[in-house]
Amino acid sequence: MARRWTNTLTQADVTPEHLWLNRRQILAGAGATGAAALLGSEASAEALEPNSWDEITNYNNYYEFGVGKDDPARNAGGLRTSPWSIEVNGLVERPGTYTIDDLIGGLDLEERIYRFRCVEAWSMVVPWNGVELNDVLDRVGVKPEARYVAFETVVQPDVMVGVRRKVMPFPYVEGLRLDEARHPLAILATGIYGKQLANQSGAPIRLVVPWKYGFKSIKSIVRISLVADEPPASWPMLNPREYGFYSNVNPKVDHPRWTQATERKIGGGLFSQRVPTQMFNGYEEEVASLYDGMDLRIFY
Amino acid sequence: MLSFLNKPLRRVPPWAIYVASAAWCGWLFYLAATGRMGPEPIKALEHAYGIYALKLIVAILLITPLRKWTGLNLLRFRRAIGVSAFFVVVAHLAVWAILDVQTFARVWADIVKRPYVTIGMASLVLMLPLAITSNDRSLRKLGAAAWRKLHLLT
Repeated sequence: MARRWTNTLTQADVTPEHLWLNRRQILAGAGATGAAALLGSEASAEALEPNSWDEITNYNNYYEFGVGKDDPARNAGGLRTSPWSIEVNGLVERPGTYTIDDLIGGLDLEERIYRFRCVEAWSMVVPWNGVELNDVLDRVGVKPEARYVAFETVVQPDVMVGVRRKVMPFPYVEGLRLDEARHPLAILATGIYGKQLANQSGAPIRLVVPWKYGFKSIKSIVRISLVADEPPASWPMLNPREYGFYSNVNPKVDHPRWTQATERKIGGGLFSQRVPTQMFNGYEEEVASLYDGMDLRIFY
Repeated sequence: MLSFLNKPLRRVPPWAIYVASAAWCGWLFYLAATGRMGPEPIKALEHAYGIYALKLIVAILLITPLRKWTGLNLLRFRRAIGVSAFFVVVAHLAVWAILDVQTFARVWADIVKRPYVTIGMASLVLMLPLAITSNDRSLRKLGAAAWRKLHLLT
């Protein structure tokens, strides 16, 4: 089993929201050099600067609520997240219907500041709060025959305009190989910036797999199944030429319609420069060994 | 039916179309530059210009059927709408190439490799001779028949 991943970034590395705003105002007003000196004490120049809550919650893909980037923020308000139950089934020791508290209560709730890279070549940095999926799997007990984990998103047609318009087949489903799911970087998140997830961010509980394209990090989970064979995943089912089961962030394998070599960080404004995309989204050291011997051009 | 509009419309100068188009593009740019087009203004502006250009092109194509079926005569605005559409398309291209894709190598790679970009560039190339010849001198030089044939490229 993989070693437990220790987070080197802490709450202290999260730029507090008020400083974030300050920084922008100062940058807009005075020169950048003066601003850096002013802020040096409180907000150190960390490598990963998280996006603001506003950016994180106003630029989303959640097709159940519409296909536009601002649709989820506008339409997700009606999602019923309480009470919430998650069905755990398949090759598990303790199958059943779990509340969120049953599933993650008492586990280590951690802050994880991760890069988030969308398959559409944009990216953010998100300060998640959540638990390691690994710990959750231990709680429900994985049978030895299980090789994959499948996930399913909630369907509430009365409040989901995209479901009523059938913009793609629902429920949305995703999956991971068991060793990927067991990797300490993979988490089930319940919050951002210490607040509960916004509905458009996948409330009340979602997967976050930072070395894969964002669509693998399935939202608003209602079912977790341990299975023997590779489970279906929504985007590869819809368009297998463009999306694969693995969907690891890989600058060397282009999407048929655009390059994956570079990405745009959200929040840089109208003149923001593209930056090179990193292999496994910058988590190569941690996860590359999961794919030893696999040709990632074939298993994209 | 709509021909009663012809008389008041005669008082609207065609150059107003250029002014309105330029002002609208400027306004959209201002919104994008000041963070009022959402967290990702580059794609938003690119799409806004593209959709505006498309609307202008649909407007041009509607002029003849409107005159035929409703009697509404917008012929004197056609050149202004067409040339405005061309400039908006150029703005759309500029946002895509300069703000979005950013380097010439990637711009060229996209034109060659991505069919939807190839189609967009081909459409622009088709519009180029029309824009260049959209003046009275070119019309006289080419002769009416040749000019009309050329402008069927739309």
